[in-house]
Amino acid sequence: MKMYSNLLPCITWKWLKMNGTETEISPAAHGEVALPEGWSVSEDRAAHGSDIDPRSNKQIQAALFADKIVTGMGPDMDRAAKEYGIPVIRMTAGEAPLVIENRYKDGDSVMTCVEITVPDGVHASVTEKFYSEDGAKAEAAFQTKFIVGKGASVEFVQIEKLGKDVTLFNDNGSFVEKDGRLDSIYVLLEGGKTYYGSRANLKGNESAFSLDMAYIVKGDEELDANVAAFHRGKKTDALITVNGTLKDRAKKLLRATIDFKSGAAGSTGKETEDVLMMNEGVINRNVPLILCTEEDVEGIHGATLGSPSEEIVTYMMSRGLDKATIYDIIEKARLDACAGKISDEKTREEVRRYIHPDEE
Amino acid sequence: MAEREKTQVADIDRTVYDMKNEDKDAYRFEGGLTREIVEKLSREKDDPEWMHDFRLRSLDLYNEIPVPDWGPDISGLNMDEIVTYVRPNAKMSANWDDVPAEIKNTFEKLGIPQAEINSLAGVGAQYDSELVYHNVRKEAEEQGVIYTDFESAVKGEYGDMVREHFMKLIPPEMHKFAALHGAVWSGGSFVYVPKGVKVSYPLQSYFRLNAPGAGQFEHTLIIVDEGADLHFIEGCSAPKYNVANLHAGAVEIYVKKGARCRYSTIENWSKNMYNLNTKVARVEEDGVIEWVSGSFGSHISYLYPTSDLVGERARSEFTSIAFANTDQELDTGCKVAHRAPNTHSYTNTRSISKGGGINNFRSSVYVAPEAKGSKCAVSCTSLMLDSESRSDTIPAMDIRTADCDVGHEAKIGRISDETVFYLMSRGLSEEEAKALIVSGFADTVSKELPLEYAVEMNNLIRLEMIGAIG
Repeated sequence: MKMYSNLLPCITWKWLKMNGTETEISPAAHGEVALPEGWSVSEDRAAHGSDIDPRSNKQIQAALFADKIVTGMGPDMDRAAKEYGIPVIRMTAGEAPLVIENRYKDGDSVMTCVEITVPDGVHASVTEKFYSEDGAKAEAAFQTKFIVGKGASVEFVQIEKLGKDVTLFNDNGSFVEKDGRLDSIYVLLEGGKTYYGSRANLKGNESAFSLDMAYIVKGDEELDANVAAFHRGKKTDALITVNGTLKDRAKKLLRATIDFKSGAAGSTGKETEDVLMMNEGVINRNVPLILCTEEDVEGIHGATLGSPSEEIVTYMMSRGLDKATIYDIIEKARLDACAGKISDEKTREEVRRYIHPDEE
Repeated sequence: MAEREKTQVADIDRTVYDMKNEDKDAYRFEGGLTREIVEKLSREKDDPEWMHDFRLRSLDLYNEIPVPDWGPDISGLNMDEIVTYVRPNAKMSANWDDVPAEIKNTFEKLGIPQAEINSLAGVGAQYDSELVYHNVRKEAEEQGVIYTDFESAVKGEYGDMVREHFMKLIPPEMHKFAALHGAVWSGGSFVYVPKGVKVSYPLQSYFRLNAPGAGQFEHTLIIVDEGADLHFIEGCSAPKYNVANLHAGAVEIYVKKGARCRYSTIENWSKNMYNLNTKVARVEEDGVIEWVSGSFGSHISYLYPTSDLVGERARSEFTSIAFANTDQELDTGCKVAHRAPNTHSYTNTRSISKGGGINNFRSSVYVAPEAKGSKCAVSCTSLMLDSESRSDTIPAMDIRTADCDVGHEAKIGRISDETVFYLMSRGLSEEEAKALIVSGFADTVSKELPLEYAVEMNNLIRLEMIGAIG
């Protein structure tokens, strides 16, 4: 089906072609998830779809105020799940970490939907890996929704290393109760076309959301992303940190929004993006929004875009390194910095090996 | 009440902007926009054929282009009720004594004749759809500076130059209100500064809209030739009515090689005004455009001065402040396109929202593949004075070369309690303390303005701040 996704929470000039993305999705199969001990799964697997217009921020906001989860990519992902009969795997988190490894094969067309409830006071660890077999041509969609209970916390790690002919729809949404927090890490090492969305509905007072994202987009790869923090509760906090590298003919569009709603007094939101453009031919677009209807808040956005600093390159060349090596070090350092925040040592090491395949 | 001179003031009173003259214009069109009205306007203006055809083509485009749906709601603007042409009961003159007393009195209260004597190289004063006064100082004239009303320029000796440049930077296809402007423009100024000429005093155009339910569509075309230098000031105001008024002017600025143009605006339209104005500058090699903008008035504003940096090392600076109070939604910002190597742009904006007012900062930065070595910095700071108001920051960046440095920062926040408390401990009331802080916040813009305009801007802020407490 045709899909409209990644709608900017406050649209701007249409000629910029940044307000949202038109694409198509047609999953032929659904994925399953093996649960660790201590996790439980609901028998209700029905996809409920959505009657929200994917181009209507008004309707999306109304849904968020009605305590619904609207994912970053938007209502059409829910609609696709229903239209293609994709079950929603509803589970309640336990203490053990959940690791979902997706390895896509040639010809795959798979959609997986999970909805994770993290009970009050529980800490959950969820890792999703997106890998593909060599040369695979595939379409993959993965939707993750979190309901984070009072005082609960989640470490949510996503690692993407897909072939150039794989399209991934990576869609996330969360609803966070009082004192709850969702800390996300997303490391994009390789992918064909990646559509990424993440939206946090920070309803509870002192709830928090963070996203630490690092990407390298190269060759003819494309990344189209939409991240939004919707502050409703008092003293909520959002921190969105994005470090990226673009090479070859890569294209990237990042929409990132801090949205302070009336009543979110004492809240803070910070969003930064640092993009290295390694050569001519790349296209780097971004739209960082701060939307505010509350006086007592602090919102900050900062972005730096361009090639590596000449001072750093010159210094490193004076130490005997050639330019290609220096660029390689710089781009890998960004991925390392993000991957280093993954608390599970095994996963961290796995990512490190992907970043440094030539090392022992 | 004692009369005061607005551009020299130490004090301000809104009544100076709200003064109304009886609407006894010599001639006004019926409301709405039809082919007949455009034909009638073209006859009224005695347009050359090309302009007549241009108006009709623009009208067709206006009818085709949809109303923008990405910005503030303008459904309260009913074009069937807007009068597109109101000719005042006056002929244009270069002598204030020839201007009818009532109109002259209005401009005197606004301080224009006095400012002309004190600090300007030329003045154009538009009242409703026509200029009623236009004059340029002898010194500027002797330097070869052309500053004339737009109608004369279209038909006079500069006709070819006008035709070559008119609505080339703002083609009617650009958006619905550019098309509207192309169809019904009336009044405005033409400025040409010859090569190497530095105009030592600013030129000023002042636009006054007196007629209720009317639109003002003046066209300003400025050409600053190679190595020349110009400061142009635009002022505008209108009394408040209960019906919608519309301003859809257009400003086109050509900054040639090595030239510099500073365009300053203090916009103080009344709060029934839809201000849908378009401004574009095309900057050639080593040229500089500087926009200084203060937006205080209007019910709804769409205003994004655009800098098209087409020549190597061309530069743009955009400094602005927007103050949105009750019943106001100011959608302001800028667009910059870096299309040549080593171009630079710097944007510094401040916005203040109060009493339910809405500020949207909207911008776009485009760096083309050929704009290698370019640098761009955007800084946007917003102040929220209460939780009834709204402030949104909507910047977009499209960067297509690796060889550039682009930085963007935006901040939103409130006046810190500690600062207010400190100032109150020094004897200021809470209201005075907040007004002082807001004036300081706006300082980056006011220091870019000529002194008398900076004073006026600070007074406007003070006026808007009254009643900010509680």
